Amino acid sequence: VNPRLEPPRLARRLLARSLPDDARDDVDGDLLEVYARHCAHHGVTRARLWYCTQAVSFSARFLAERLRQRDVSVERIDVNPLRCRAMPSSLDVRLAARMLVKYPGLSVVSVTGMAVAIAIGTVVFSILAALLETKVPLPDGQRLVALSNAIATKPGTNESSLLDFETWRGRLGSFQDVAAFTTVQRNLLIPETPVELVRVVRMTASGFGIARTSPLMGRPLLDEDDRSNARVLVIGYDEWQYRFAADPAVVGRFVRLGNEDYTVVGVMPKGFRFPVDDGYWLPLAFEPAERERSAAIPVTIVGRLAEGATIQSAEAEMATVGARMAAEYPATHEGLRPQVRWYTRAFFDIENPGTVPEAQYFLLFISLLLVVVAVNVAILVYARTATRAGEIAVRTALGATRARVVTQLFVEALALCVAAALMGLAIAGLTLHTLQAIAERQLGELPFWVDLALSPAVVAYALALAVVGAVIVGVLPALKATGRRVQQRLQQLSGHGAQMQLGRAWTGLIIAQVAVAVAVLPFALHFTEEAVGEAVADVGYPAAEFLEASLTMERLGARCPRIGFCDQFSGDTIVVPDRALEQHFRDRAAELIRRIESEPAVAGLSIRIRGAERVEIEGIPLGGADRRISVGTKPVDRVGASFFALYAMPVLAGRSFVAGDARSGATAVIVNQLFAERHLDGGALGRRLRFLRESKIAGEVDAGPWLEVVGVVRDFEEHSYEPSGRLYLPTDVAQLAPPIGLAIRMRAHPAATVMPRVRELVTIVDPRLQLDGLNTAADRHRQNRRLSRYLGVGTAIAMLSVLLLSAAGIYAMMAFTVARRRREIGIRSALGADAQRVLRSVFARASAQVSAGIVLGLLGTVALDRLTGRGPINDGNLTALLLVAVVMMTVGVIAAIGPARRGLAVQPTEALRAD
Amino acid sequence: MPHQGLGDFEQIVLLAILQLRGDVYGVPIVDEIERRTGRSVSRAAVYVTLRRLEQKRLISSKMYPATAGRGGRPRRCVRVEPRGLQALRESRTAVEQMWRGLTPRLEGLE
Repeated sequence: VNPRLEPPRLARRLLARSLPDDARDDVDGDLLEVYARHCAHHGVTRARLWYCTQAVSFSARFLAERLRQRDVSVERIDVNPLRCRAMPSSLDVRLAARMLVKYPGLSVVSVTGMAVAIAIGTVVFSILAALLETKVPLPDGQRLVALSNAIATKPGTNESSLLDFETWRGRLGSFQDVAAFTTVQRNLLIPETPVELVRVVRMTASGFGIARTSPLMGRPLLDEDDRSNARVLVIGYDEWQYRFAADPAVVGRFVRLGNEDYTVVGVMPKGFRFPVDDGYWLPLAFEPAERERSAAIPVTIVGRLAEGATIQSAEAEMATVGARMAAEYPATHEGLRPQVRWYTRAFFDIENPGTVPEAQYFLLFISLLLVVVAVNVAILVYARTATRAGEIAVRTALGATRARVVTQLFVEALALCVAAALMGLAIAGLTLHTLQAIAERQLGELPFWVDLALSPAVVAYALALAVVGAVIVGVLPALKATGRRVQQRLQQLSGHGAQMQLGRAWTGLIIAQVAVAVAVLPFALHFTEEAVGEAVADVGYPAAEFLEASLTMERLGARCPRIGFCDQFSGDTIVVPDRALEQHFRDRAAELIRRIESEPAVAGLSIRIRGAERVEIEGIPLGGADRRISVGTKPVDRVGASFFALYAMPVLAGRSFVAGDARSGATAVIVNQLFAERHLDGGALGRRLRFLRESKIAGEVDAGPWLEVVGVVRDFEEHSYEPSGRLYLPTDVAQLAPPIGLAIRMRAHPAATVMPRVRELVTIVDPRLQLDGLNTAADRHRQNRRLSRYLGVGTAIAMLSVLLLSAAGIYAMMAFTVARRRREIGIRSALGADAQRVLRSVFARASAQVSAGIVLGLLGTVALDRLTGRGPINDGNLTALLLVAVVMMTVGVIAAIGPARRGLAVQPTEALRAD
Repeated sequence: MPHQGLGDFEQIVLLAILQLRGDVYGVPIVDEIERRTGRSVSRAAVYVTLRRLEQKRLISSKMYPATAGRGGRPRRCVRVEPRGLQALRESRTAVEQMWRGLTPRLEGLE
């Protein structure tokens, strides 16, 4: 039988599980018969689809039938279903589902509110779990640790060198093996494919032993490779698939990295990205004889704990070796304390023993958010339960135990909370997916063990939150509603639950809820406004025509290419400045710039290096506590002479840069309009300023030479929520050290089509030149905007749920008041009170509580604003404050209208009939 | 225990079995209902109803060995029991009682 012609296996399995034993075979046979008919008439695809729908339909029908029969049998056994045991039955579940539908308003508000709280808790849980994880997803991965030296004089910093690796590897019994690695960047040149800048890890062969993973093809790195500094390369599965087109003969192929040739000797299996997120492995060559040199080569050291060894025992053993090292190499090893940390935690620099409990407290604090929301929902549910007091009293009278009634109310609450948990998980799943994508894009990579997804642990946590929520939402109101006074209530059954009270605690809660909403909402609104402003802001120049990149060279890049292990420098970092190499870089960079500029598609090119400096303006006294702050730290861009012309930025006053401005000793500086307005209001041109830097002598500052403002330019590329004064300094490639920022403007061509040509030019000029982060400016802005948009939407959802809960609280309070005062309203109407007066009395309590909440909330906003120094009042955004007060009042009125109308509709005869 | 009346769908299923005569199974029953009523029915609902009718002992079933095209599965054939016929008659009588005298009035309303 052709398996493709058979019905979907999953659907058949579903059917097999859900059909009763005695009906399984014949129903299956009938469905197969009709399925064959469908295949012949409508084709296999439609027939398979039909079969799936039938499988679902049959499962649901037979399940419902089974539940119905069980209920019938329960009714037959126990004459009074209310008296049966406290364990929840399918009846409870069905009743709970019915309650969800019967009170749609309450369900929507409660589920939304709790879903947002559960989503926030789940997202935080996932992130913390990823950060605190100690197990690496490798065979026996829970024993991987990072070895380093903590520097006594600089708490919180670690270092480790190749010398440490060589020393530790031979002498420590606590580790099965130890490996060292360091990361560099190289241009990957494969014939007939575009050149690409890739991250390459130089790792000792022992790294593959520690990872306990065999290659898919060829061999891993070997100890001989380390010793002989062999030009061999091991590649990852994805790299093999995409860069080498899954070439089956890839082992033995030559590959060029920078200006060196390597032979591919192995391909690692799918998913293997050790040590961080790597796909190219080179040997880490070292010369054991060169002790002094290897002490200066920074590496990350990873080890596998031996059986029976613990972090503590390993640290103790390392301490004795450390003491010997300090005596042997006092210049480099004095004041160092060997340290062992979980490999994964070392990556995120979580070393402080207090960090883990702190993270757990934080998680607890976030989980408390759900408790706050759940208490809120509990109040709403209590109000509903109050209207069912009569029903509860009757059931108690018929013999239902208190446990039985509480169980039923708990199941009802559980239905609410499970729905909220499912919705929360969906929101969290989406958020985590987005976060992972953002993190990968913004940080360049994430370590291979971080997968922000809905793991079983995360789902379990969300469900646990749902159960906690259900206990608060269901059990607390149920215990209160089934208390000692049930008997009393039974006697007064005619009052339809009017005897349950919403006392002072309730009033206080409503006021507090409105106050919190009013205090927090202006901040949220302010933030959303900024985020939305950012998302739609015009950058002020044609960003699609610009390419941006950072130019550097092999062995000159000082930037750490990793987000973790950040106290380690790049393996390319030169310890002693290599003047000749730097000069070579400048020559090659100038040549590259010349070549790019002469491309027909390129309109122009300018250098732009972003930085920040502490600025002092002449004539403005230094302020602040230490008398060293003038106007604070401002962004300072070092740009080429053609920069303003390239971006078509009009010079509003004075002049632009000219060729001579960049020579050493020149003092020209240009400021943007905002800087001129904020700090140089007496006229910018001719004013002098200088930069202050921390001196080597503690407590002192070094002041640079005075610079003169020669021009004012228009603001551009400003953040709408953080507009800032900006300064421009002239520079020239002859003065710069890598990395150099380049901005290339295209002619009519779409910028993206020119990228391969620019990369090609780099390898023509010098394969060791590296163009990092080559992309269009429009793309950078788009990514920033997307982040702002997500933040805006997230805040808006949280804001909406706060508003919804407040509205629901007011509604419940009003509905309860009307229900309780039903008789009174009836009597007053009977005595001739006019409608408006009755309405006013109903509204009085609601408006008093809402007003009190708003006043308290506004006071809270002012206090928060003062405390944080960055809020709506501080930023002059008083409309947000006013808007929130008006919205809250409107929400209160709308929530109160329904119950008030019900109150007016009370017929005197009907209300008095109770007696 | 008082006699439980037949539901609408139960009546339709019983009538379909009778229309088909003899030992019939689920597939032709569904086809017959769809052909005569002119609308599609839920296959699962028919099977659940057949099961329920059998539990009420209004129909009986018998397994027949597998034939080709059914993946080696047997076939469950049903026939209406005297109790089933009785229930159908009662239902028909009840409906006819309810209709009595209404036809001229309904025609007059048209």
